[in-house]
Amino acid sequence: MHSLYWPISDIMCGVQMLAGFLIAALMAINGTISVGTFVAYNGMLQLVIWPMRNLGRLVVDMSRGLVSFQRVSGIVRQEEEIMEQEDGVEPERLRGEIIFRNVGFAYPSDQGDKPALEKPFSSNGTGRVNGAAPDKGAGGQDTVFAGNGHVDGADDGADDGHYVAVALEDISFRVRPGQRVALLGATGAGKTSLINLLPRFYDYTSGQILLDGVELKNYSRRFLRRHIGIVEQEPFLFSRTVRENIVYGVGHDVPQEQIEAAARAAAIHDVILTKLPDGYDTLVGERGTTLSGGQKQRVAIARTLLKDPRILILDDSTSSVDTETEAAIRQALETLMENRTTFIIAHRIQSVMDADLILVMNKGRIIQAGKHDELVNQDGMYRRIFLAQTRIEDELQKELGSV
Amino acid sequence: MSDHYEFEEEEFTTQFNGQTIRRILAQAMPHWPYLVGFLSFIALTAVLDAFFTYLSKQIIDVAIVPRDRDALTRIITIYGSLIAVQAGFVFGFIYLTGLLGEKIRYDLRKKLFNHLQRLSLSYYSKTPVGWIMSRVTSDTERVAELVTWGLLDTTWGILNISTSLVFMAFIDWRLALIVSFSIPIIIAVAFYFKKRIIVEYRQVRKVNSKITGAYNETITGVRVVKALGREHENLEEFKGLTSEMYRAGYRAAWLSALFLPTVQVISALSVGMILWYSGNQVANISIGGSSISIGGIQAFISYVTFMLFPIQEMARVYAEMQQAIASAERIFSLLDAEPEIVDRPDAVDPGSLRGAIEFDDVSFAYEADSPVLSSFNLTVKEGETIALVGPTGGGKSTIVNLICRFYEPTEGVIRIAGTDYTEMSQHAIQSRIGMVLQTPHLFSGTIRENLRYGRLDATDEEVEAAAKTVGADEFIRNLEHGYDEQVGEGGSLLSVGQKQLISLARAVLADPDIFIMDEATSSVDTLTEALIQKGMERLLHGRTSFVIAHRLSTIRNADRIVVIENGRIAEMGSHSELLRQRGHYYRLYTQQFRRERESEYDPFRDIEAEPAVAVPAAG
Repeated sequence: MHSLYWPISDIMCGVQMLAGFLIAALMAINGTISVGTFVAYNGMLQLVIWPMRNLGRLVVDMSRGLVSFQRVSGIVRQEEEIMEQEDGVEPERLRGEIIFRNVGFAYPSDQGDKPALEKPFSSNGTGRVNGAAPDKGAGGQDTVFAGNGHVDGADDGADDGHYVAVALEDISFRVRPGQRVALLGATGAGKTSLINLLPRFYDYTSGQILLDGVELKNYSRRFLRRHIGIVEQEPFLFSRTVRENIVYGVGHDVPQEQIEAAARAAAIHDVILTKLPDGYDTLVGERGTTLSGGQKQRVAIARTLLKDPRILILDDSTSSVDTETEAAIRQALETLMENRTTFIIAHRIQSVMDADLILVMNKGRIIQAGKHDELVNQDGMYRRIFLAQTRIEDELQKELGSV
Repeated sequence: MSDHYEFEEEEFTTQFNGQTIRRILAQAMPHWPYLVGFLSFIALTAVLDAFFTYLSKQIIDVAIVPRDRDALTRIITIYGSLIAVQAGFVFGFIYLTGLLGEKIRYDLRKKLFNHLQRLSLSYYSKTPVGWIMSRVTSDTERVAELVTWGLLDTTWGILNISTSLVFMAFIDWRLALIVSFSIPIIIAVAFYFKKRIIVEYRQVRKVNSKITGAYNETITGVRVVKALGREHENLEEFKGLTSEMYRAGYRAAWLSALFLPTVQVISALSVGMILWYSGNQVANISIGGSSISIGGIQAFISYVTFMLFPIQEMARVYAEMQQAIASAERIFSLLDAEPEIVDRPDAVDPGSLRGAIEFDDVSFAYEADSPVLSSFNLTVKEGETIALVGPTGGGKSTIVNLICRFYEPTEGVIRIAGTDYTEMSQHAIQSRIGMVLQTPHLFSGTIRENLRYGRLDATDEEVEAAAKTVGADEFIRNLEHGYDEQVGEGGSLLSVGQKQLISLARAVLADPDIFIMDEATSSVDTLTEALIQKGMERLLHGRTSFVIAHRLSTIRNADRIVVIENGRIAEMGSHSELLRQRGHYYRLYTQQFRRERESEYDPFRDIEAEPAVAVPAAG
């Protein structure tokens, strides 16, 4: 096509020019125009014809440009999240007392219309660590919290392709400052939806959430996010140095001693110094050194320690980290949880046993709530999980005894 | 994608290098008839271009001024038919150039592909995939562009200018002399500008890839950005990037804007000189001075004006050439890379790999001074199954890589049946080892084709028998097209478990002397899992085997368990021996035991199995 287009358009332009020449030459011979006019005419003819040739291309470019413009303005017109609000309450100190009263939440139904914007929230960059790879439901809100699924993914399959329209229903509980709440439940039970309400990633649709006695919606999003720390199981690190990743989100300069103190408390300082090629200046993430899941998590813990939030959200589904690393991470997490109101998303009973409040969730509702000792003596899901654990231990002992 | 763009844009300082240019031109040499063809067509086109201007002059001088209608008809007829002829030439050179370009691209890609297959694994662990990909795609593209369109534009430019000069000299040699003085000046200015403009544009592109990266990162990490309240700082950083882009773009636009007027002023000066000189001449005709016709003046002005186009084109080619040469150098560096593992000239094919495998004081490092294996000793009897267990990064996969001779020991010797395996040919070793990867790679094509990868001359019956042996037959037959079902790119249409089954069947078909299996860590559904176990047992039976084991049953069934930690054997022995030691193995085993049972007894599973009050997905 290419090799045909140019000669054909050449011929067409040539014919036009020639016709122009001919007529003008005849007029010049007849004396209608002077030779000078003929010369000037010739020059102009060429000036007119060549731009005409480009006109075709221009029309195509124009329509392409128009389409792009509409897409761009489509994004620009999307409603922005309001970070500040004028009547926002901003107390000097947060105590971290949280009360849920009959809280209900449903994901906005119009989200299917703007997948381009909602997608990023669900995929979250850490990729799909679990087996439940395809986005669940309309827009995939179920996977909002990356790594919420457990890595072994064996039991993720069941709810693929379902979308619970009402994500949370009738959630009521109370957490005192500094207490630990553990959320236990299957993937898609509503754990993630619940914690998404705290930093106001989404606003609850019914009921009340009180933070230090004040309705959550009265705090500005900026304020809440400054005081809530989130540590995901497979945290997202930016393509920057380790140092920049640790201070990311502090918003002001931090002296090296403080960074190192945080890294030490997160049990990652030694790893940074001994295992990484350029220490704190090692570029990590997509374009740099790849850190293991456990290392990333500890960098995120250091990051959160520096931020020093009052409220903490932890995704504690145990991944396939090695035993030693697991101990280091556990220790780092203990340090982090001290004196903070903490929400733990868990899948195993070990990590929830010493929580002040355990919420067992299913299909967006709390099916059991209480402390370990109470729940273990009730007939119900928690007891079943606990018994399964004891059964495993028994079997293990039996097997070990048999060798 | 953005990262290797940046990688690529960074190197544009490469200077002209005669050897590289010769090597680039050598790419076109095998196809010299095309080269000659398109060069002749372009030459003819250029000559005709210049001749057309001459004809316009003739229209004025021969037809209009003497008022000769017949002459006009004659010239216009010649003009018209030559336009048609030229259109033929244009078609010819565009067609041939395109063809030549494709041929060169084809050659380069084939050469690269072939070479890439020959390179050792170590090359791939050192070189980012993106880097190789852009060598194969955009760099070959750029070299082909240079050899074809670049060469074409240059030839056209040179010929256009020189034939114009010839015609000018023919019309009036003194005027032609004036013009030929101004040409070098215009060329120098044009080259200078184009070079600077392209540097600025390259800067724009470089910043642009950073901007894309920033978008990408902020979107994928949006949750963290929001949770940490980094919006403001990120915006500041982004502003820095966009203003960098703005400045580079501004400079490029400024230079571009300045370029044309400058060149035009210079050419206008020479046109002015022509007018002044020839005007005097025409005025002097009555006094009997030498004459230049009105048509001649018109022709001169046309020649000088239109000479600007070829000069600009040549300047552009010149500026882009630098980058194309850099591309070519990278391609050549890839082609010149030697495989690290090379067969010895006297390499033998022992005919079989049966016999003991012995690691004698083997050390290995992927990168100097960070050893992965150190002084590793292990003797495996023929037919023995070895389970390799231990933490990630401990060295399990390295041992497997060494057995396959994807890498060779940096120190020490590996012996197979008593012979140092570097005395054998790579093909002799690799064709007798069957391997099932953790996430097996399938090639796009049908299941049958993928199975046949195990042994290329296997009949359909043998292929299906192998699939039956590992229990893959049933699931394959349940697919819509059975054995002729497409597996998708990389086998993406199949589950990991199914891919492992196919991979196992492939190994059965190959009937290797040594079998290596890397068990999947991610869970596979119970049924497939059982099939894989069964298929594995068939393969392990009576064959020297290494299994990077994760499943307890596999570990327990192995003849010997080797616990690898930090590149050394931490523990070795049978399952019960090791458990009694209560050491590394004991810890690993109990951890794995809990994990396996936990997912087995998970009470939530029962809930999820019941259909929830759920609405089917809308999208």
